[in-house]
Amino acid sequence: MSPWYYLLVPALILLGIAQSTLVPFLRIAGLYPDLILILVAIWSLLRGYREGTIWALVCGLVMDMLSGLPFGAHTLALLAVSLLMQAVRRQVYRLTFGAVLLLVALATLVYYGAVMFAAWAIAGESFAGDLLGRVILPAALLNAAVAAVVFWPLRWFHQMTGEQEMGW
Amino acid sequence: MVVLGALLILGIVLDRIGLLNPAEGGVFRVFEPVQSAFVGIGQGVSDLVQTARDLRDLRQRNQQLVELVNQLAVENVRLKEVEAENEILRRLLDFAQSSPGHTFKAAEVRTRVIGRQPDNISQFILIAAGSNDGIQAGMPVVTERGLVGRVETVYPTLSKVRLIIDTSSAVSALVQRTRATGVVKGQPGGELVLDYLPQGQDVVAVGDVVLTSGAGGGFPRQLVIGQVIEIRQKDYEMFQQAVLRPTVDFDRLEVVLIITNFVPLSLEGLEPAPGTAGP
Repeated sequence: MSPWYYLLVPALILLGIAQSTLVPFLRIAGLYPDLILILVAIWSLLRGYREGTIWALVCGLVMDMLSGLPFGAHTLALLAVSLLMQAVRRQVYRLTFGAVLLLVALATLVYYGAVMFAAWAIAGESFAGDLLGRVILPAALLNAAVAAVVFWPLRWFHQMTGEQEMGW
Repeated sequence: MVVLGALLILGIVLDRIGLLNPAEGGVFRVFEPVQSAFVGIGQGVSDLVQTARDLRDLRQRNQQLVELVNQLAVENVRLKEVEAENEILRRLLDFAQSSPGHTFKAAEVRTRVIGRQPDNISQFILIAAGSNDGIQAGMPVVTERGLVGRVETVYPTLSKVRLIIDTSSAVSALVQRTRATGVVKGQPGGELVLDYLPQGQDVVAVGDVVLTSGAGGGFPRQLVIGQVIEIRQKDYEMFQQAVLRPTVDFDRLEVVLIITNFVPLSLEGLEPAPGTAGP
């Protein structure tokens, strides 16, 4: 891991704060994109185990501080997403752009499932109503759409700062 | 990475035993200026976009407002009569609780919203007032338009507020016109539903105003929650539901009030009366 990465930690903290301050202003039909989840998923696909996990931990801890849900729920959920993406990365040699968008949508389902499970396991927090149909699936579509925009600058950043290990 | 993992586990453990609050409070002191700046930027951009949208709707709204003013002028005359009558009745009955506005005027904290829940499945806000300002967990949060939620977690300079549109929120409520009682629950997507209304023809109607009932002791009485926009009634079900449009615009919350002289009732630690305990 190159030294620039440590300079990225403050940026990740700012991104974590932005998720609860700036991103909610991007609300579409009552939902806003899970920017941190999208970044962690794509970065884990691009860079693999170590960096994906660190992004998940740093951003997750900041989100947990700012969230009303039990501490640890977002960090554990982001770690689950990162692990899933790393598992996919190990299994495939080449990923297409469309596959990345599908994986971000899948990551959204895993993320929200993990947040709810972790919140329940840590503090008995319960969630009611048709969350899957009215929130999680629409959020998966929204996140996939946002990922289509976010992917290209992240890929450029990846190529500028690291080695190309996987075909695109 | 090991350090971060240890931080996570330590954080969960400390949070569970209640020792994380001081540490989080310290971090919030550092975060708060950044959060405020981000919210300011977001608000500015949002306002710009909103202004463009508003212009489009202005002509139609103006017509609606003229009609509304006419209606309100008539209603105002009627309400003044009702108010005078109510004043007499209140004195006669030694009615302890006057209007919520009078009760809470000397006991409110006005503060800014400086953050929101970072995900879509729960509904919280962060406000810039905490234990240093006399805020305690359980205090109701309102705006001039109605009920917002309840303080969930308190730090020295910040508090987390669970909004009434959160799916875990439940508020005892009544229909102002018919006095029928129920429970207002948040639904996914920010919808509000008044549930557990008794079946019947004239229990609730579209346009009815829904207020807090004070039952259960979680919220004060007579705070406005919303207006009925749809009724979901099925003959074979025990209760009917009413979908509400909240009076508070939760997407555009900027300043809220915390009612600091209301002490919510806690049922924890209560024991059943002798002879009433279960098997």
